[in-house]
Amino acid sequence: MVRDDRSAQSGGHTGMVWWSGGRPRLAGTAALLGLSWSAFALFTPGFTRMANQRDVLLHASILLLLALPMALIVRAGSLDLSMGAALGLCSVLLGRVQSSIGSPALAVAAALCAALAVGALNGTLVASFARPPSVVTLATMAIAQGLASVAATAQGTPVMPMHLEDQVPGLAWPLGLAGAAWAALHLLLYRTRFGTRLVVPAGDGAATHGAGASLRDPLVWVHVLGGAGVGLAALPMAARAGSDPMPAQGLEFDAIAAVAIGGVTPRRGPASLAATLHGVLVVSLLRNGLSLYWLPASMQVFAIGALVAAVLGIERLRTAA
Amino acid sequence: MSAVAVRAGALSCRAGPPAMRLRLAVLGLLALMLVMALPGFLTANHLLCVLRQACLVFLPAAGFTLVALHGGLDRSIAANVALSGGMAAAAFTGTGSAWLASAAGTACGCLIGLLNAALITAPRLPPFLVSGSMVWIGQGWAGWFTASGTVAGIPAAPHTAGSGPASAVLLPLLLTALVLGASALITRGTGRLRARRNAGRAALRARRGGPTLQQRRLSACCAGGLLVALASLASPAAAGPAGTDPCTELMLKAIAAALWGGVPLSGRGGSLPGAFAGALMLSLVLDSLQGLGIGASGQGLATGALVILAALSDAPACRRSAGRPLPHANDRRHA
Repeated sequence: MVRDDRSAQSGGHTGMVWWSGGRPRLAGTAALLGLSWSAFALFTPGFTRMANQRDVLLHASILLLLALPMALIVRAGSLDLSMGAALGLCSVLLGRVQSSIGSPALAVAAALCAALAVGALNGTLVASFARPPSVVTLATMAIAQGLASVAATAQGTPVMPMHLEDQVPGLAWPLGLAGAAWAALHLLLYRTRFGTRLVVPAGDGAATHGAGASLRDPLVWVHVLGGAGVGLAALPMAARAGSDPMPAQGLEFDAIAAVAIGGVTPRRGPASLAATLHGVLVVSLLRNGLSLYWLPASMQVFAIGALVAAVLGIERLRTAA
Repeated sequence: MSAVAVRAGALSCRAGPPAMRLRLAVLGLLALMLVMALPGFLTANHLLCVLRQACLVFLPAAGFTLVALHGGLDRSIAANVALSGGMAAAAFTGTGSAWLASAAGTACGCLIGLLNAALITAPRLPPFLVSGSMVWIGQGWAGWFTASGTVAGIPAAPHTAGSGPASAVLLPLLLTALVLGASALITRGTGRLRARRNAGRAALRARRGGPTLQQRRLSACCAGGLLVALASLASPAAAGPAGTDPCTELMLKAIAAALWGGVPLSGRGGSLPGAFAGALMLSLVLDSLQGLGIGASGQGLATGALVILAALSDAPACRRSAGRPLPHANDRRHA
């Protein structure tokens, strides 16, 4: 909730560069989060159990690792539809390398390399060749899905033999991983030139002059960051669901929904990492609460889509007023 | 459709005869290679199967092309196919009337296209969020509507209308012929309109008032939604289950066909015959992969690679034409 120093330098564009500010939006997403939690706590049996709350947080930690870079990608005017498929590919690679070589370090390295490669491919095609991100990342989604499917069915789907959740006593390690990613991203945004170029919207000449470059280069790197987020998210994902590509499919939509609820829009308006965190928690709560009612996944998707549409509508009315 | 008719004059403005001849040459070369490599390729049943696949891909590709001509990229094809197919199947089981079922499916497709365009143009919401929300809502609703499975109770005749070996080709082929014929008529009609305008009737048309850019977009998205819905009616794979995978696969194939058919991603040209040529090329490639024993996963991977290749090959042309105005950019009074 501290206003970024660079917003003062940009002069006259304070509303655009409050990455850690944007109080009205932050209050709105916090209210939505509180309302969602209270509603499920009141009306959903078993929602407040500790095991269930832990499950919500674990899901949120995986989603946060995808949503944080997705917020940067959307902010930079791009989109990544391949995150879920890439996450599935990384999960399969983790299990495959772990089971065949027996080295967890090599397995993690292989998964990270694959995720970074997908991110770099996306970034190069979108930024260097100026291709539409929705088409490019849809194609890489198909490629990643195909590769994951081939790798998973080559000798039967391997199961990740590690239960990493118990490695750090007293603290679910996925939460620590997500928190570390949050801190690293915060430092990157507010303490580096790269962050300045990304935070200040296109066209803000006074502010980007100090950064000294256009948004094209950051566009490549935000996609690479997206790949890094996918590679990190593959660890808790594989530990939670095994090396199966199916559970990861469609997670990119949850990440986009969280980013949309958090109010991040391409290259304009206020945007906040904290609001994105609220969006992640709202989506995770919604998924968990609706699954406790035994609603099918399709209805959960419908509910998330309806919520995003409602939030966008309210936001539009608010800005119009 | 009148607005689309006016706009459709640009359908063939960039994909002229040389580009089409090049595509036909590539198509012929591909077919020749397949004839030499696969012994059973030239049998009637096999050719009909390839043609049917091409027609099923062409319909959503034509919808994508229409929307792309107006500078948009329709990501809701998969949701549209799932929802329109589910609605049509449910209407058929409820009423027993194929006409009512077709009307329900096509109306649903048009409505989705209209909603997409209306939300993007009127409140000016970000297009990626609008189409994303449409994907979530459409597929979620379709999953709930069909209980995430095949709609049961459809008699054999209509259900197999799009899938049998010989008679099955009729429905997709008929729809494809209708769409191509209508596009040719519309293009000829708009050519005459342009000629009249050039002859000095522009003032009269200006007094009468033509369709605005927004109206054109609405009409194009509506027509695009209709074409995608037709694909769901012709394809039993899409009409029955509301699962995301077959519909997403169809969407990717449609995008690949449209791109290989000459639709530039800048939205500055393209043609429906070109989209059909692209669909035929894609079907031949996928058929050859199947002949080589490569399964669905490998085919999906190949389709993704083809989309990237098409997008990359389109990049220089887009850069060259980046400075040129859009075909409708001189019509500023409509914007």
